[in-house]
Amino acid sequence: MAPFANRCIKCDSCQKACPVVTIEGLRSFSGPRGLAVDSSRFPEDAEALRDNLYKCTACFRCGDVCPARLPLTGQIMALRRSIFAKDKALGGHARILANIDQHRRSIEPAARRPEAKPSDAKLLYFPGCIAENRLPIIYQSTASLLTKGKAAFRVPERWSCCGAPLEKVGDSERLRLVREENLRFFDGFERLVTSCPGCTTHFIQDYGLEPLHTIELLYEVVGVRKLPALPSHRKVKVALHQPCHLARTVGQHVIDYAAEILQRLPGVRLVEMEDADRCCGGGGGVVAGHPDVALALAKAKVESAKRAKADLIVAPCPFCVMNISRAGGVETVDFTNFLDARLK
Amino acid sequence: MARVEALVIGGGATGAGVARDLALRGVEVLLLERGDFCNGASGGNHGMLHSGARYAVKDPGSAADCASESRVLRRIAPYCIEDCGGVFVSLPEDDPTYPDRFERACKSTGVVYSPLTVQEARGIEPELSPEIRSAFSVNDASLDPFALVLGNMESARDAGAKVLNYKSIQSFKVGRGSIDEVIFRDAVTGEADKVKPEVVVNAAGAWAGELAAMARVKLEVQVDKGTMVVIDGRHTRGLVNRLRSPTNGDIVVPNHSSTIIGTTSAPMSRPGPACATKEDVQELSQQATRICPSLAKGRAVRAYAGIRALSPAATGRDASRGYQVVEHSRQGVDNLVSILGGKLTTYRLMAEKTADLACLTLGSTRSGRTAQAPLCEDEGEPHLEGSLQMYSRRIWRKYGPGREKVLAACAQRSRGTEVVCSCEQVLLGELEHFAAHPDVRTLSDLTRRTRAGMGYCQSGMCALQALSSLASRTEQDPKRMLEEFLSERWKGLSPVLEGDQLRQEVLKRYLLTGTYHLSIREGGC
Amino acid sequence: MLRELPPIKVDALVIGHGASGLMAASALASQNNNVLVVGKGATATSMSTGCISYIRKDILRQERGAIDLEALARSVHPFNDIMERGSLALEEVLLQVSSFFQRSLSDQGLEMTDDAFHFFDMLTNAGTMYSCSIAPSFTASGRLDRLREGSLALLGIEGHRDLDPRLVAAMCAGHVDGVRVRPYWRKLDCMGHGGMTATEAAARFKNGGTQELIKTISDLEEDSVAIPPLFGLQSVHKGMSELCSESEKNVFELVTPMSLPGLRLQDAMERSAVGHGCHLMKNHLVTRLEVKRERAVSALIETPTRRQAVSFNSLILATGDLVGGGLALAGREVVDPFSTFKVGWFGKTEPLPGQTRYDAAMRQVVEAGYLVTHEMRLMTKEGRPFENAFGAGSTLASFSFPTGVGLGGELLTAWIAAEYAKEGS
Repeated sequence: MAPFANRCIKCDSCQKACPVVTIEGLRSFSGPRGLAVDSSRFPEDAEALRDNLYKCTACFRCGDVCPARLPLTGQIMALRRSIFAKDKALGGHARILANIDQHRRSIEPAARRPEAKPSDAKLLYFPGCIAENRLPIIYQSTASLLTKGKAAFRVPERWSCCGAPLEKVGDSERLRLVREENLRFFDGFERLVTSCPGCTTHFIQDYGLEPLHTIELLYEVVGVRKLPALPSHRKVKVALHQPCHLARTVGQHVIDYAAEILQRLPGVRLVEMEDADRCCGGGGGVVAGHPDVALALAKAKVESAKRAKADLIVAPCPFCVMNISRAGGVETVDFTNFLDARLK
Repeated sequence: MARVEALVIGGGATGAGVARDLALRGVEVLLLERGDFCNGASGGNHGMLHSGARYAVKDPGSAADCASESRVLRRIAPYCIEDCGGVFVSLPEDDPTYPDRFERACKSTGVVYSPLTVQEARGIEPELSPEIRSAFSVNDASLDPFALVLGNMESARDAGAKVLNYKSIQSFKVGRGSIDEVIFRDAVTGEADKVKPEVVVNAAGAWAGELAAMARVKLEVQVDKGTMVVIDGRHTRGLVNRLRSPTNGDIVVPNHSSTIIGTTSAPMSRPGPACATKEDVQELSQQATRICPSLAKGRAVRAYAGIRALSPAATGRDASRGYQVVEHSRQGVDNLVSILGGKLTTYRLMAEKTADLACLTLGSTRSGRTAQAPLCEDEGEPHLEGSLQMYSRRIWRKYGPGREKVLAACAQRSRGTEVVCSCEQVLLGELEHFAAHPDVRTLSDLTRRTRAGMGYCQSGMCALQALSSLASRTEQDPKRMLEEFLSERWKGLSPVLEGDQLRQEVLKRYLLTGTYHLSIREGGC
Repeated sequence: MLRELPPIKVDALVIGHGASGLMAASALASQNNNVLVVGKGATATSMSTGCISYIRKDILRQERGAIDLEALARSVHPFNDIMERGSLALEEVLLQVSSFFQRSLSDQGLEMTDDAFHFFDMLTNAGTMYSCSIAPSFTASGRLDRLREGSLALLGIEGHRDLDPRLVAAMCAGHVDGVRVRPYWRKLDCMGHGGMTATEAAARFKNGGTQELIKTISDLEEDSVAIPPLFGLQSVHKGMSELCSESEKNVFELVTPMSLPGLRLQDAMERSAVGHGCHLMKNHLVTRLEVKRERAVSALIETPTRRQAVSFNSLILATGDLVGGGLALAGREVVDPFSTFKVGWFGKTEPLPGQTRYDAAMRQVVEAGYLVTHEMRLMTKEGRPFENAFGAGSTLASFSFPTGVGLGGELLTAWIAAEYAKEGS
């Protein structure tokens, strides 16, 4: 029995805050307390809960609201690790593992990928699997912004998936493998910048590095607020989605930076969206493992944007952009993409 | 009911066992219990199915009985038993000669055992202290006393017995050398009734002496109090006993989703309400932590005390936990049979001996068949559809033969599969089913049967739901029922309140007393 | 590795983002102070009923603005002692606080009733009675004195656990103060089965439950209908108004703890604090506090990946009690997690009239908290008052609900702390 579970006093805050419980329902997903605290008391439920366990999007909201500061998400990931060690992958996760084995990416590589940019620049840009293969516009916009801001950078010739999806699958072995490879491939740098908040968080918590998310770099180092903007030809109402791994693990300050940068752009009006900080469903391996759950959360996000009368959702995270776009209804773009298009 | 062949007084394991045994022999039975079933020792013990190992050295008679009876119970009541096995371990401070004596005693009493190396023992039980010196494995198991007793009652009813709780005996009319009439009263409504029994079985446990006195029969009963502490979660895989002469805090028993540690032994001058004290809890925690250090980090959620009746052979711990079946014709009453002492594990055997004597009085020659007749026809876990699948094992373990009706209540009612107690995963259908049962008069009766509120929040969150199920079916004032219930729960909480359980109780006070203005009567027994 | 962000300097640091913290912060910010509020975890406020009383029933006379000074003098609650010895007049403070508070909430869409000097009775979702002075308007429209005519329908929605009409009807024996009460369970298509949390119920209801609910309410014979909480802050006013006007009935929420009303109050107070100009950092933990003798100097704030030092002129500690997470327990003893300030309790106080009588051990724990002067100044462990560090809310000794004077009493301490903190800056 997990000893931390003793501190739970059934205040229900985590269950009320959990996006999957709220959108999918307790019927379908036992929730953070159900999985992390209560399940250890009934080992016979492990098989039945197994399915349930992979619906968690690892958004960390539960741990954030817990008054006793229980490491609920961490415990859910630990349970996934122990299941993985016994049974190997959940069906939908097998593809992720195959892609890692063959391509060192968590998804199928695109036919054409952006070229690596070797140089002796001290700033290392790590695009991540999605920005390289699924949404190359993110890679291009980031490169463009760094160039506009006169920040020389390089992209490693070889790199592996950061490993964050492997943590969500529960595969400690492959996680260790990609981490060791990456630390070799990175081969000396002064500063590391990433497009994906998942990568950012993972580099900090698992690799022990000190990366910056693109927005932090742009705001604090590159001075993006001083870059000249293009005049605007039409007004656009933008809802800023707050990615879980940005707001909750990297820090609230990044969201504040993003909001400030957006508001300075001509023609851009930031509208307040309800539940802006609620998970979009893109994380936790749920897109691969339980795509219907990921879609339900994405739809809820789009509904919030519609109610705020937003023309556009801007999300500073490739996974968020990808998942919210699956729901359709309101156009969703990455932050760097949006910003780059509006700067000279 | 004006007349009955056998009146059994006492609704613990022994009474239930006697009622069932007699009913299966075709005897007309009425059983009366003054509180809810399992009121006495049967409701306040560890829930151990003894392999006999614990008594091998001190009480070989009991040990041999436990060894054979535990096999019988596994056969007839498998759903009440979690066959998790047990170990006996000794620590550096324990008598180094005890393990040898233990081994010899097990051999001679027929208790199955197997010596273990320290590594083997820690392989079976990883939580064992690294300091253990010697170890044996035995066939101990965890037994649910409520399921067992209620199962016996239901089986007795199926065989034609009338079984009633909340009936307290007011007086015996003793005519020429026998009890002619027994007057009893409903403990809740006060309604009086009477019956003329041919034979009376006194299975009143710790109160057997007081009951016999009503027929002017002198019966000496020694009463002893034992405290147990419930720790949340399962800290061991099976039972763990200390390999030493029985002392306080020797036992660790996994029970459903908790771990029970016990016990103490303190003589009481007369039977009465028994409460656990803070001192008991501290002593038990210290001792148990010697065996399993991880228990120090455990969260104690409740402490309770049970009172045992001992045969008046010796005193305190050394008094035999064997049993005595007594008839009282030399004391002027020829139709009263008393049964004293014993253990939960040997209840069936005690009941059989008692029933034999009762039948003799009735002039019946039928013999008992409780060793062969199972409590539940089929043995396996039911296979359930859909969302109920996850609850199937728990429902089987709690209700055994009664599970079909409970499952029907869950499946058919519109909110039947809503989880109302998240600590113990109890479904609304379970509460609804038992709330409608005539035996269920108070909230404690309801939670006792369903295990609602027995988890770490100790009814903080489900008490109102339980009340909702019961309130519509009773004339009693619901607010008072709830306050009684919470006050009852408080008795078990007060001795363990510290750390996380204290924080839990503070949150409950916010809700129950702060917001809802319910009064919880504080103070001990 | 935790990345160090550049250190910041503020006028006031408020630790704790419950009602007290946010109130103190709003009060300071509205006077042009640069205020940072740092908090982590669900607050007890978010679990509350969302209803407020500022001061005990027996201290207030039913005439507006009248405080029974004799009762006040007889009372032994430390708050009353604080008020007596302080320089602020109780009635004045009450008026200031309530008008500031209600205005702030109203600006955020949470309409509250408006009389700090009266009490009224309402029904809880357990069927028991609840008294307070100030409540969200759609809960307050269930005031029992206004329900005298007619009968009341209790409408439970299947799957929504917050209202069990059968329980409520049983607990109040079918009538409340002469008003006949009838329980109904109804199913709404949009709702989940097998039990929903309050937030799940609200999310499902938002997706098109309104028309169905309006029809359900209209079909009932009673004129007054109690429903479980179904709306978040953004939609409560519009949603409840629509239910009332479309069904032409008096529709209201029963007093419900651990549910949406508490979350709404929390949400409204957060927005209000931000609206007054506070900077709010949720999901941040203060891990270290630096003090030099009787002066609090700086603190370290952390997220899982970032760390930042903040220095300030004044500090307000409003971290809550054992439920909210601000006080810690070592066995049975309540301790200061910062190991800096004096924690204690006021000794063998008898419960106040109408208060719960607790077991002695329990009372000691529930009543323990930070000890403060009548200016809300925290003290060093040796008992010396701090120059610039103040305490507010349920974290103070004898203020924890329900041993204190309720949520309102906590707001009053926050106001007073802000007053004195302002003077120091």
